Amino acid sequence: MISIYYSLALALMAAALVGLLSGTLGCFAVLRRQSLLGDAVAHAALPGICLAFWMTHSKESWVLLLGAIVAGWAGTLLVGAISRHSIIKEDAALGLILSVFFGIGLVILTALQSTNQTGQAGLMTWLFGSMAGVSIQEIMIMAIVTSMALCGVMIGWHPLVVCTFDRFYAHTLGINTRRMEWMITFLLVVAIAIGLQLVGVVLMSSLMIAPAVSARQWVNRLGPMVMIAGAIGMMATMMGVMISSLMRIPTGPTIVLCVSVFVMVSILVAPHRGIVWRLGRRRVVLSEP
Amino acid sequence: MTVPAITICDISFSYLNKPVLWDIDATIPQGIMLAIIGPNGAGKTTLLQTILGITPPAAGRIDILGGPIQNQRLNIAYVPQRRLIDWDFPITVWDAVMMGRYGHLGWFKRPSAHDRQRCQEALDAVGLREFATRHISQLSGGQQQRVFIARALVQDAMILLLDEPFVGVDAVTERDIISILKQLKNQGKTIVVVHHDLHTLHDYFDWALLLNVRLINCGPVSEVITPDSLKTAFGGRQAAP
Repeated sequence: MISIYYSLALALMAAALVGLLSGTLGCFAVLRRQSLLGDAVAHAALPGICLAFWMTHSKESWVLLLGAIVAGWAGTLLVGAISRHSIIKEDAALGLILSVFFGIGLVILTALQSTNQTGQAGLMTWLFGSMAGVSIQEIMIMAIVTSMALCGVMIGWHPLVVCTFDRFYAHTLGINTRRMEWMITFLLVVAIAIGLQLVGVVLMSSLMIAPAVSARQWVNRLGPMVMIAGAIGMMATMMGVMISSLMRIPTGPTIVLCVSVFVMVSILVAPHRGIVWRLGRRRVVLSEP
Repeated sequence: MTVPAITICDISFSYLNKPVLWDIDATIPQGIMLAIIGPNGAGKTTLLQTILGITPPAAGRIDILGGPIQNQRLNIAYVPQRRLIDWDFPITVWDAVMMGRYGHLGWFKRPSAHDRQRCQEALDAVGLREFATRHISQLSGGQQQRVFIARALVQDAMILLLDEPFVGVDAVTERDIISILKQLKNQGKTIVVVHHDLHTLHDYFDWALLLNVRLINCGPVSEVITPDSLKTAFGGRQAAP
């Protein structure tokens, strides 16, 4: 009995870290209109995870994490290269890389399953996510990466805000906008790779976008928005893990449903920006003489 | 003789094999108000962005106050076109103006009392004191333009570059902005404005740079704006008022 509670506690800790990191960094992805990039990176990470397992026969999470980061980063570079050096537009390049990398990942995954190697069964959970059997070492890695990424955001806050708001202006202030953009993209890739195990490749991007979209409804400043998005990410992932372990349903979809509830409530009732609020205001204006 | 504010030497720039700027040479002295004038597609905004170092030229060199722009970043303040701004971005008027201090702030530092005082003064100067806590989308077009002028003010720069600041702005605000810019000029600053209204040119500016991919003329307004030079620039058709 104790071990069930212990593993649930570990899962909740991991969920909190993942939710915090994706919620926070997701704000920058959404504001920089890079929401789709998250989806492409998540899908592109799958072949990296599979190849890392294939080459090392290890299910150590840091090995798979590294594979995810390398493949996700390669996908990002390719999207950039395609949209820069061809007439293909960025959204088409994103779609292309997403499906090609995901296809390669699925092929390798199926091949690995047919070879019947010991331990490959766990790889399927990367598709839809699972928190079963997360170890204390994995949580340590997540905690270190999360705190490093959040420290990076705090240290670089001023240039980050200007670059996100107006990159031309940032350039005129002497900020190295290209380096800044690489940094934020790299952090996004890392955040996605960290979250993949919990939420899965298919639904990961929604954990980046949804908290940011909800948080934007409630506040008009970036600092509070980032904090609220982090909190929403944390709450949604923890709720998702609880519900999925109680009802024995997959973790990723449950988390996404939880975070969707936050989005729906925010879009409906948030002051000033919510639909209900705006309908109410219109009625007041109409009824005035 | 003081160094010129901006020296443009043989600047050329092309986009997709089409020349946008061709062999531009001009010297802009300090302490004047200059309008960059030309038809649509003449390369006005590109010239501004080249001066700012945003788009590096294919050929040629630009000196700011006698040196490369890298050494003069804080001395040059940019007011972008209003349509290039994401007005739903989560910042207040105060935050937007404070961005002008970031160049002085460095990475870690929080704004000091002096930084905050400079923002307050700039908001007073553009008449937006009571709007400081508003979100930038909750302003009129003229007020939005003034936010970015305030941001340029707090930068304490010697040169201000403004890209079409009077587009979508009412007549009263236009006059307010001009009087702020004239005050700055009287303090010895150099003001460069991308402008498209020939009617107000003589009232507002003392210099003009007439451009249509090539430089047609650059100098005091009365010398630059002649029927012949306008015909060369606009190809016989006048710019829309």
